[in-house]
Amino acid sequence: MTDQADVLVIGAGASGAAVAWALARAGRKVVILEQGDWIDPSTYPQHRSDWERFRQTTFNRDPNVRKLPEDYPVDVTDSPIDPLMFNAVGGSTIHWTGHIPRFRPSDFRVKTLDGVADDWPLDYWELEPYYDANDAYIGVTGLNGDPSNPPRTPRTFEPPALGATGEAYVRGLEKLGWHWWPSDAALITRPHGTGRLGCNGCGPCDIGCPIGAMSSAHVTYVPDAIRHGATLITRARVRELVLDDRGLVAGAAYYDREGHLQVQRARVTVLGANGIGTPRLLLNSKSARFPTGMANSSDQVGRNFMFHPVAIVRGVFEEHLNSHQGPVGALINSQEFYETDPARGALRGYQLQLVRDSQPVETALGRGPGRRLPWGKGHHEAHRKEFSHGLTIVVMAEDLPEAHNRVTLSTTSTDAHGIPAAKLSYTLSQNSRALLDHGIARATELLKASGAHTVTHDRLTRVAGWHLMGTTRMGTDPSNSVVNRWGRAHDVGNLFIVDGSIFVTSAPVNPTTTIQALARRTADWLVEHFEEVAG
Amino acid sequence: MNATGSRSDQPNGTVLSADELSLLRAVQDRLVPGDGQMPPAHATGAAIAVDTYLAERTDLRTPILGALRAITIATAVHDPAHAGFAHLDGASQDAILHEVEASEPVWFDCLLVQTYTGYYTDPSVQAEIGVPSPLQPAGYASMMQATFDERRLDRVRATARPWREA
Ligand SMILES: Cc1cc2nc3c(=O)[nH]c(=O)nc-3n(C[C@H](O)[C@H](O)[C@H](O)COP(=O)(O)OP(=O)(O)OC[C@H]3O[C@@H](n4cnc5c(N)ncnc54)[C@H](O)[C@@H]3O)c2cc1C
Ligand code: SF4
Repeated sequence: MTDQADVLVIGAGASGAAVAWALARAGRKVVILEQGDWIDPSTYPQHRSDWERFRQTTFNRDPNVRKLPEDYPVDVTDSPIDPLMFNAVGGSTIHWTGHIPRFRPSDFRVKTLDGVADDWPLDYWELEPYYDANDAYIGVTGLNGDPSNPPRTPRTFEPPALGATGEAYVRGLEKLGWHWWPSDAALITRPHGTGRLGCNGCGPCDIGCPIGAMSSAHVTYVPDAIRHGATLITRARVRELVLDDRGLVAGAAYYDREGHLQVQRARVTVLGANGIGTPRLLLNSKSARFPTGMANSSDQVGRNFMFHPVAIVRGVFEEHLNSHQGPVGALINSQEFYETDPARGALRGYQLQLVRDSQPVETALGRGPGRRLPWGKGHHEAHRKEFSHGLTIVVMAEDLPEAHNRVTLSTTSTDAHGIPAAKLSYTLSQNSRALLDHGIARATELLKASGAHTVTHDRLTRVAGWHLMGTTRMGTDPSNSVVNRWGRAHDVGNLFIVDGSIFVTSAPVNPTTTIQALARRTADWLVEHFEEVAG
Repeated sequence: MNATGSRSDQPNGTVLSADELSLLRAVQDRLVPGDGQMPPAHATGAAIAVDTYLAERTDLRTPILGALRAITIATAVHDPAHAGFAHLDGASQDAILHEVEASEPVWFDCLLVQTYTGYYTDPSVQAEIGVPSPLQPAGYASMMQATFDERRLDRVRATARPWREA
């Protein structure tokens, strides 16, 4: 048994780190439990010639492929999309590509505007100052003034020139007259903060940034939270939350680095374990009061799981585009098809994330069996024509919440500590399918307008479950939601959730800036109301 | 492996026997032959790389050793003189590889994936295709320093779809 903390934060990823920082800065005694470890910057693959092979092993994005001791399996037999994440200090922001568009005002009012799903119990304008504060703190590159979005504060750094890759996209976009804007990117182009270097465009941000240029949690909020007095315990895997006899959460039981079971007590507990880890933990926290899992009287824990379903569309060009160079995911965003248009045969919309292309091994492997470049005499010619001659468009659709898409506990597999693993059951809705089909056609049109001689696509990309949302959703009605507008569990007054689980709807954009803005908003509320809610 | 030189001169591997390694080299030379400036696989560290992967990843052993075994068996069928795969002419070697590709597609694909991985992570190959080896600390720094020309956005600013007030 350890000393009681004011606040226990579970997970040192994007959300947990942000909330821990804000609370530690406000003088609260914060303990963070993280099942993973620090990644030693010298071990990032980009420091080695054979870096690309680590995509297949320890730096893979899929926990079911990595199978590291700190990972937990996710049973995906009932899902056409694999959920991706990383379990370490920094969480999945070790692997993210830092593309950070914001939600639009309409994303908080889906029911009102489009008659489906639900409205959020807050609006864009309430979140706006937290978006701005988060951007200013972590360091972002971009350009304010996009008339297709509400105005925002000046970005920390200006975007770099379009380069050959960007110019090729813009050629098509201008021909078609579509919206485009340089991506807002959570990365810095000049030194910023402590020990962080400016991005040198090495390319594969998705296996981690070795120089701290990507504004990930482990180089921003985590070290700063520790400087403000927070205690981070790594290799601490939480088994379950502990309930006291008043029905409040008293802390968490976790396995320490040596595998011993410990209990960390706290007056308030905050979950930032992501859209799969958080429901898994709640479902594993059963008690007489909550026989189906903590905070689950509504039976909504684990339900309404949302991905952003993705279709990758790739064009190959005669010209050399240098498209293996530069931060892979953050270049241009087109929001031409963002808002609902009934003519598309679907509600809501999608973004076209116009990204860079494959590295040498990836090019040869061609994204899966059947797409490998030919072996033998023609191999080099094929590689020459493909490598750095491609552009990749990520068609990212808004997914709507559906109760049957859910995270449950696996009855057949556990993690290394014997804790039941997560099982994901997910089917792609007709609406998401229609959005993707529309997006594939438009992305193909764009690549052709840009000059591609060949365009191929995946109808649904399996290894693209980057965004995990909706499994403990916010709402005003405790019978159909898990947390209130501040992320506070309806059922357990001193339990808060700050990760993507609390999303009501998903918008068609990458979620992390919204996750961090929400986490900071919850932290501010907690600072003000701590004594009212603490156990 | 160090960051600067090719791995072709490294000692034999730990998982593969000398015979298996020489078979692998001969097979890889058909999969990735030399072409102009691009070296054939045997001149790179592709075979030793695969041996390293086999040492680190037990999941690769069944498919890759299985593929090599299937190639050996197919060679024996095609080559009653038992000269071995490495001594056959290129057309016969390719015929054997196509046969194994069809009969053991999963194993063959695994061998191909790891061969491509070993080949394109070899510094000599990276140098030929213009990729820094390793990527850091140099990266492609100059591309990040050129500044964006905001005039490119004039049309978008004038015609953008508005966001819906809500
Ligand atoms: C390859 C990839 C690319 C991405 N690109 C983008 C992008 O461009 N833009 C964007 O907005 N988003 C992107 N994302 C998504 C982004 O990384 C996530 O949205 C974000 O990290 C989620 O933050 P989180 O705090 O909810 O969870 P995470 O960052 O996943 O952190 C959760 C943490 O909780 C810990 N944890 C879980 N369970 C336990 C337990 N039982 N005990 C102790 N610790 C536990 C985990 O180890 C982990 O460190 C990407 C993700 C991936 C994988
Ligand atoms: S491209 Fe830039 S942000 Fe991405 S990994 Fe390389 S240095 Fe880091």
